[in-house]
Amino acid sequence: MASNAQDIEKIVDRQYAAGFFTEIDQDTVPPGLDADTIRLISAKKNEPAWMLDWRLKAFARFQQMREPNWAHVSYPPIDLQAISYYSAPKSDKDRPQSLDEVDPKLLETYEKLGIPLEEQKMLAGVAVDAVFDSVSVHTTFRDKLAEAGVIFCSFSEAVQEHPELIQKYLGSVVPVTDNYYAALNSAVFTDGSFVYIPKNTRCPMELSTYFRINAMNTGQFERTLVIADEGSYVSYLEGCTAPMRDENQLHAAVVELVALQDAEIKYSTVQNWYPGDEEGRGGIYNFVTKRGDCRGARSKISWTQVETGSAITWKYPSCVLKGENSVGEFYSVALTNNLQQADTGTKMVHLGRGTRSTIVSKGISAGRSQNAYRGLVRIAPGAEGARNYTQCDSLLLGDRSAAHTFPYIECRNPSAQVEHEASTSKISDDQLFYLRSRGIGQEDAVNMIVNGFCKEVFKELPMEFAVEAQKLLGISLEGAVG
Amino acid sequence: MEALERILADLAPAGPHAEARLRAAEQVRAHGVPSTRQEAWKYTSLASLKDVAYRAANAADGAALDAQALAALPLASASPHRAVLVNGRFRADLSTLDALPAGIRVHSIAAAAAAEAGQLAPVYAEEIRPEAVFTALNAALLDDGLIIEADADAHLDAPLHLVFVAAGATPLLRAPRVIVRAGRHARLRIIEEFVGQEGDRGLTNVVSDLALEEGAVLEHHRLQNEPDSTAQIGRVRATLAANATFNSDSVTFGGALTRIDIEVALAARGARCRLNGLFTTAGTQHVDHHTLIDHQVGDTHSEELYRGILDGRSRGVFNGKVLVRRDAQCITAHQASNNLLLSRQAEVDTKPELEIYADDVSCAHGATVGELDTQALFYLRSRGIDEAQARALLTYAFAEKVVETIPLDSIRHAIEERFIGAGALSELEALLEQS
Amino acid sequence: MLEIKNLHAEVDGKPILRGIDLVVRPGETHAIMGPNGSGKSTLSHVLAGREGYTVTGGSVTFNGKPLLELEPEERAGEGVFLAFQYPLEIPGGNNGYMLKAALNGIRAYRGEKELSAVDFLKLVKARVKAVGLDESLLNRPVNEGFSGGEKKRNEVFQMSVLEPRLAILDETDSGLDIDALKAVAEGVNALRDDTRSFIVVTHYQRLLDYIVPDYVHVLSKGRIIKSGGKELALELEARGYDWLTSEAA
Repeated sequence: MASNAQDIEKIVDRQYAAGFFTEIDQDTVPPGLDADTIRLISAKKNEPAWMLDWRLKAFARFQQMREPNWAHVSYPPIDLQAISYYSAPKSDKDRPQSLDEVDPKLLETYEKLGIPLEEQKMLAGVAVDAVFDSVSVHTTFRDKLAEAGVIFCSFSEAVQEHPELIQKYLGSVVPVTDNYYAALNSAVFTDGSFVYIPKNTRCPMELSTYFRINAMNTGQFERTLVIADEGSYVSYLEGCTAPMRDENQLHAAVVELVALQDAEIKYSTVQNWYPGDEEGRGGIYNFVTKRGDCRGARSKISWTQVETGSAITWKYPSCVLKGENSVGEFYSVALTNNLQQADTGTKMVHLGRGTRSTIVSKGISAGRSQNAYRGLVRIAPGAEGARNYTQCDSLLLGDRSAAHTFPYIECRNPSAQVEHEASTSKISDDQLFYLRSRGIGQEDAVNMIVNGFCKEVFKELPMEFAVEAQKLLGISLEGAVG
Repeated sequence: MEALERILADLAPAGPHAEARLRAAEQVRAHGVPSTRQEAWKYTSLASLKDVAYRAANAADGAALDAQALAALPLASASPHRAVLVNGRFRADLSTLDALPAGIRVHSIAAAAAAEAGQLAPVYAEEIRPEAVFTALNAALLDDGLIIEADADAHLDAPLHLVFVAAGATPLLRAPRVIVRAGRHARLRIIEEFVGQEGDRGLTNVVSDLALEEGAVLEHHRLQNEPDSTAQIGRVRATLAANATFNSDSVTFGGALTRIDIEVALAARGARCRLNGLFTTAGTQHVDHHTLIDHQVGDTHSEELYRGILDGRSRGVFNGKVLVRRDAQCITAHQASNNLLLSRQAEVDTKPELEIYADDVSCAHGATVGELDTQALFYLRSRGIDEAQARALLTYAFAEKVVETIPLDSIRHAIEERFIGAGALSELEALLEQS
Repeated sequence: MLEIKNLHAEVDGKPILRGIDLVVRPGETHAIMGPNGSGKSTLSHVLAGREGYTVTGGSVTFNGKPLLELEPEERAGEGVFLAFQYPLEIPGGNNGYMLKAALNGIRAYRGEKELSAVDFLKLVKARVKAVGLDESLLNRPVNEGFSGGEKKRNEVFQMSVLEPRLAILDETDSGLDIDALKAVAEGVNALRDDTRSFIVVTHYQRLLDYIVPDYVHVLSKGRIIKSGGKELALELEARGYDWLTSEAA
């Protein structure tokens, strides 16, 4: 395998040396990563020179960086040269032509989640049939958003249409040098989403369904940038509860949020990438950098996540609280089963006066999984009167699972108040017995208890998402008890 | 650290452990001095020690320190059982160990090492992790220290007071070790007190290895009262057999830079420990406590409470890890880290950790950093106590909560003096006791 | 002695007190009653000077001094005492020491000499027994591990030592069984005389069976909507608050 990859590498190198990128006309480029790969991606996307420059600078920095090893996860080395960094969307003829061609197990899961048939088709990558006119849905949304002055488009489109905003904000929250995977993403990202909410505007809809349709095929190096201008509000929903088919093992997304004065961003994620099978074979490595900047006074950024998928999750949606009295929130449910590993949490960096943050993290470990909360609360000297409250609970299902809590608290202001509480315990036998004595089956009883355990987080999710998330927990826990 | 390299280069040990000591020195060289890039040293930089011209303490250092000079140092206990080490060397002339009850023996390591090679074998048998490099350094430089043995069922009536005196005209590197073996159902109380003469600029690199056999009880009080110019890197390791109990208090008032690692292995069922800590710092003091409670088997229990009060430009670090190993079921572990910042330039970094591989556990930790409780402050003020005094009283109460379990009045008096004035409370307490 | 004029106060921008007028003369006991959320506790806290309340209008004078301008400890020095609904626990603190600091704080405010530990003990020992508390309580942490009844008795004990001119009892009856209630009331009654005044804040009439007030005021939505003698409390007991609050609305 390794020698194979090396062979390909050699071929690729040769081809690139011949100026291969200008004449390529293929859907997928051969695996390999060097400056020419980046030029190729940029050329394919018809990017302006400044964008290519930015990517190349990121790549130069990336080459000087080392893969981090501090997280409580383990996996075989990732061969970045074996990955293909550009792949155009599949044409209709390559996709399954109907749901009959889709893995019945996947369909069963969709059924349990109550996902509408048309959405099932999209998720399974079925070629869209004539009945379902995605273009018209798309247009309806666009009109409504345009009316409000909201910009919501693919990242590629934003590079072309709104270069001034991209140049101003891209990398301003997560600098290219932030970490190994963020640097990699900055060099090779393929697409993603861009949102701009103008001053004093409340985004007229939750950016959710629309996203589900448009975010397909954004690839493994996704880039998202959300800017909420002064006094604006947006609720953004990412991902979906249904397991997504994806051939790529490594996912290294970057999400940047900017909230200006009095603006509020609510960012909700449900992550359910393929976790691998019961023996831990396959599954996505989800190494994500998500950060929000509360730049203006009284701005607010709220992250809510439900993480049930991926073989390995490594993500810390964070808030940099610069503006006076700005607010950061993090609500998380992370569930791991079988051989999944999750190292997730948040960073709340308090810089401004009167800044406040709340962290509520609920970890559930089942099977032989490893589930770690890692969080940082930093109070800078200038963060007069800052407040943080952290509640971090772990629930263990089964004696082969593991739960870890690594909170870092760094405080440099005497007027700040930081409070952290954590607990770890197994599911209560008394609760289980109580429910079962009322005639509730073991599995349902466990689901009820787990859902109760996560209630504080679910209530932060938009309604329909919360319902789906509850069902999702039940499905993810199947076979974990009994 | 250049000085350290020179010390290692000059190392020419003799005796039965010469070879092992050179091997330990090799480990120190291989790992090097920890940097803040290492997780275990993230918040504690040793940069301030880098340019100090340390040399290894020898038997001549501090030989001039006599009983009178010792008496001038304020000590925490007046127990009849006292062992004094000056710059890491046992001083029989300053020690009083004649009244030890039967079944309890204290010898100097220097004497034991010459007499019986086997005594120190475990010291040299261990592989050292990079973050614990100073333990290897202690092994390499180990010339003296104490071996304390308690036979089965032996009871020590009064505490055994170990006094470590730092007395260097030039910066000395001291490396004493304390080895305690508490036999079945033995009961001991040991005070390890670190003091020094004003102006000492040395580095105390001390290791205590404590082994508790079945049902043994060890109360261990550690007091860091070295001058604010002395550095200390210390490690306490306790291994507990079935139903053994280890209670540790670590109180730090002094020292320029203090790093203490306390590691407890609950290695058999019924073992339990309580780790308490208090540090009150000012000026540019830096205090770092790392604790590890390792629940190796089921039915083991731990409690931990660390509190810090930081003034001036001082910095306090707490890293407390609770580890529950696979199949170690029926565990309870509770941990709290509370910190008060009294000044705008002070900093606290706290990291309570849980690492859990078994499911039938009840583990919890809490950490707080903040101001005094504003409601309690209002309560006191509404009774007519002015704000400054109310703050002082609450600060004292905050510290008192940790030391209330330590049967040493001197510690309570020290925090009383520091926060509410000498005798302010104890006078009243004494009167109440009498009546 | 105490004169409250058109007092307005808010919490987090929300008006709670909306024009309170009340005059308390020496030796009088006034009961303030009212449904939950009527502003009873806010009034007690504003009088004692707790943070978090913004006075937006009106005035309070106490023996001719503008009370609202004083720090909490200065109010205590002037002779105002608030018995807390939920007395704070101060683990690690010492009950006796706290009380000594309080007494000497007040004495210093009044220009009186500090009491020595010995004199202080002489003073408090007699009084601790009077409220039915064990002497050993003096050497225990403040309120820590006390039962609900012990905490309230401790408040009354503190009151008996500090000898305020005006004592405000904030829902002192809450959480007490009948025996504890009687004991607390006895302690309070023992302190009643021609010069000392009381404001008894309570939801229920029960306490007023034992601490009989001279006047009863009903608070609703931040205003006193009815005042009367002690018989008003009995009427409230029989009829509830609804007839009054609907009348007022």
